[in-house]
Amino acid sequence: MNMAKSEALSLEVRDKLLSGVAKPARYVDDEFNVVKKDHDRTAFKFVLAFPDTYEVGMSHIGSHILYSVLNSRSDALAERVYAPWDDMASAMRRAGVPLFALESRVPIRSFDVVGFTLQYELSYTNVLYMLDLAGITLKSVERREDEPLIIGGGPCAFNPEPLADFFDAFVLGDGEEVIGEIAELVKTSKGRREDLLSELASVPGIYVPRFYRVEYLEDGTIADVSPIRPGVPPVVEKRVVKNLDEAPFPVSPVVPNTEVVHDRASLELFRGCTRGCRFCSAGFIYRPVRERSLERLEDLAMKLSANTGYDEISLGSLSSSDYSRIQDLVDRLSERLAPQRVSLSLPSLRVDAFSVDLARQIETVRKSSITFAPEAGSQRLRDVINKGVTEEDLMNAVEAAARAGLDALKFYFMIGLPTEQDEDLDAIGDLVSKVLSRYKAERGKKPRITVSASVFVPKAHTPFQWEPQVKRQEIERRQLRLAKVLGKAGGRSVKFNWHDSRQSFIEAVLARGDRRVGQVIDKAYRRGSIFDAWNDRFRYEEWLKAHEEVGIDPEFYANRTRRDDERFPWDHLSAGVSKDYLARERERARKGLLTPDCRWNHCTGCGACERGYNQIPLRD
Amino acid sequence: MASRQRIRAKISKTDSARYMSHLDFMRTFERALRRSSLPITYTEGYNPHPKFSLATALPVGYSSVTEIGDFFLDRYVDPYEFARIMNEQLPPGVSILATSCISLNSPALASLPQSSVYDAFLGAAARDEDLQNRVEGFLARESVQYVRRPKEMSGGELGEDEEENAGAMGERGAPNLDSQKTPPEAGGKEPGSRQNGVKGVKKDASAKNKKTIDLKKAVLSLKVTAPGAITMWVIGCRPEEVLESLDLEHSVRRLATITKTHFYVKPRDKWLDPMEFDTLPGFAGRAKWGM
Repeated sequence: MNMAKSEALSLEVRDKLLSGVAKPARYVDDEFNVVKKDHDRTAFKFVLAFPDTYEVGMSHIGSHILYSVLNSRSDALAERVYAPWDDMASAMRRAGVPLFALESRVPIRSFDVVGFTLQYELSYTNVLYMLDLAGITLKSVERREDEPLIIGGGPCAFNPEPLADFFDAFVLGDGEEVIGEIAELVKTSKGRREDLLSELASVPGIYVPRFYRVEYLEDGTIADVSPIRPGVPPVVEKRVVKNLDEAPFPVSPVVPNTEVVHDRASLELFRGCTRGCRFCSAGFIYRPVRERSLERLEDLAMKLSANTGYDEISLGSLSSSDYSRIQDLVDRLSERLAPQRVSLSLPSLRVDAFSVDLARQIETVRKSSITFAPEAGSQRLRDVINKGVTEEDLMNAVEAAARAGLDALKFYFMIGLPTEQDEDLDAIGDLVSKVLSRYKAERGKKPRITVSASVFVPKAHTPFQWEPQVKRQEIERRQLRLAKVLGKAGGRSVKFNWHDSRQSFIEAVLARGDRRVGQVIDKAYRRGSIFDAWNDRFRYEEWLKAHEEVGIDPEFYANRTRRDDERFPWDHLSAGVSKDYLARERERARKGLLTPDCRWNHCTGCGACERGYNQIPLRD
Repeated sequence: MASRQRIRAKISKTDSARYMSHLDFMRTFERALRRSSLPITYTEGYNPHPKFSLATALPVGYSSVTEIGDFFLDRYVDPYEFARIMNEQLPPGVSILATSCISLNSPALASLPQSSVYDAFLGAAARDEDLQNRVEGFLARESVQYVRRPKEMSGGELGEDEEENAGAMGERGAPNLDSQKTPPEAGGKEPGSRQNGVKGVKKDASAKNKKTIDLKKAVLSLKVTAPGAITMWVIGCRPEEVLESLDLEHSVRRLATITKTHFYVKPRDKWLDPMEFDTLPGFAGRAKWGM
């Protein structure tokens, strides 16, 4: 355990810092349900770090889960820290105040472990920003004995190589499954940092990058990644909560004192998704599907409501209407939560009439809009990406929305999917015209339509991990084409939002980068890049200069079609789905063949269930 | 359901709770009420919420031991019990200090003339003698003209940007998916204009709001009450504005801790304590159910 002197920031100094900053409430704790423990009497001190603002970080359910799991142990404490906005950061620097945890105001460098959750690639510079503000050495191998362990988790930990230099360890898979083992090891460790890391490396699901050597081929691709000391596994397998019903769930999460992005209670219905959309990283790394029972969910929902006072409970999952007893759940919860006027919401809707009706049933009339994600305009391309949505599904959903009196429809599409042609973009226009006329036929007036087009970013551990990202200039041409097509199809009733292709390009580099990309992140940070995920904070030129400075070609990572037999920087990290399966799925994508969901069809042999934890209750 | 009881509560907002905005403070009560299972009346309509109102909006950063809230209930609850139950549900720094039952049809406090007493503690940064002189100087003047500036953009500006982004962020997890970017050809918007739209409107609006007030009329009393501390009774102005007109340096003013200690309303010809006036002879409204 870290015995470094832990001096809490005085309230007087904190108040001085806060006297001149925007939204000071995000830097103080004292929220309802906050847990405060005595540092001197607690053996294991963990700080959950979210590399973005309080408002974003407090909306992340995984952090609430770990906070509650750790704080329920008598020998451990967990606190929180977020990336301070610039005004606060400069006030802290002027006053010589290092980054501190919310609860105790103790500097985060005095904790045993700083655990960063890595939700999106464009938060990477914020990790360096926070370490820097904390006075923690950026490079893992240069850290002193008395500095905390820096551990990363979350979806990006499945290709953490660009961050390998800055982290001591990464956790693959479900954090609540392994956090206790980390606590035990750190608590009892008396040896040197290196020894502790060595012990951690032998825990399943923990990856310690410094114990692996990366060798490169002449063309710059990876030759091999291999362990350099005994006891370190050649492949790190992810950790999986086998029975979600028995897994802890936070029914008394911290209720923020100020408005956050998702200002509601979240209930996780199930984890994992086997729809098998080929672009979707979450659909592969969180397999297999594990559901909570109806009884357990009902109990959790009632407790959540009583303990938080939120007026809304979000029934969260990767595709909530796929929960096997969703209708029963919604019926029961609506009835039981009615006296407190608590409403339910479904954050992720399947594109069909059933889902629309369900959404209408629970959302009273608070919302006048509904969102669908067909992702691609033509049936051909939807088949390529295995988005099992037909035009008929979509039209039925639109009709249901019109019947329900929804005025606004939002559609998500992706630009630059593998094999995309101009016809596929034009098909989005056709689809929108059909939606308009179908809606009008049902309701007698036109809906407001918003089309949002993101840029396809190939992700590790997906069937598209071999695919290139379409080059920026071409993406921009396609965006313009789509804008024109939509203008023709819908005129003023269609609003078009598109994604900054420059941000998506850097995201693509980081998503499939190797260890060498770490230097680029470092340089980009030193050039002032932080909060890259914020449109108005992203500084493309600085990122390009950072690449130049270290002599790395970003297109090598983003725009190259990778060899069929290429060794990837993340091949030694297993999400449970075999590379062979991903290759087969890629082949099927090329042929436009659909792979059905194994929940209602035969097993497709992805490998995720081979360890005996198939917990999926099948539908009648 | 129609309300059958109205409880007026005197509330403190201190310590870290003073960093909550007024909206945050409202939400805090809404959530505490839901957690409490008290028989609070819910508003009608599609988006029902607990029925209560706060008399004033306290600026971010101020402490107060005298915020006043009116809570409407479906059935009778002992006012002491109400305070006890609510205090279990309120976050640290927010407490109900006193409660009283008032007539259901008593006028809303927001509709009455209001005045407040504030303590401003400047600490060692202000020299006592100097402070005394400044206060006397202020009181000796016929009028003290103060130009009320539009809301300062420093600091707040970042916050506003952030809010817009946070809104766009909600939909799909990743912060930047719903960027409101319009292609130059298609939409005719200039690149980068998406962030400026709202701000531009605000600037125009605030320029119109610029006006001059006479602080001499707004300040009912002003005195040095302890070393480095000023107590003032004001109507319709902020204590910061009074401190500024005392020509105190910005660095001194910025660190002042300000606490609201009393709050009065004027239902007729006198300033009265809102916790009490409804029970004074001649003030009680008629009991009228079904409001």
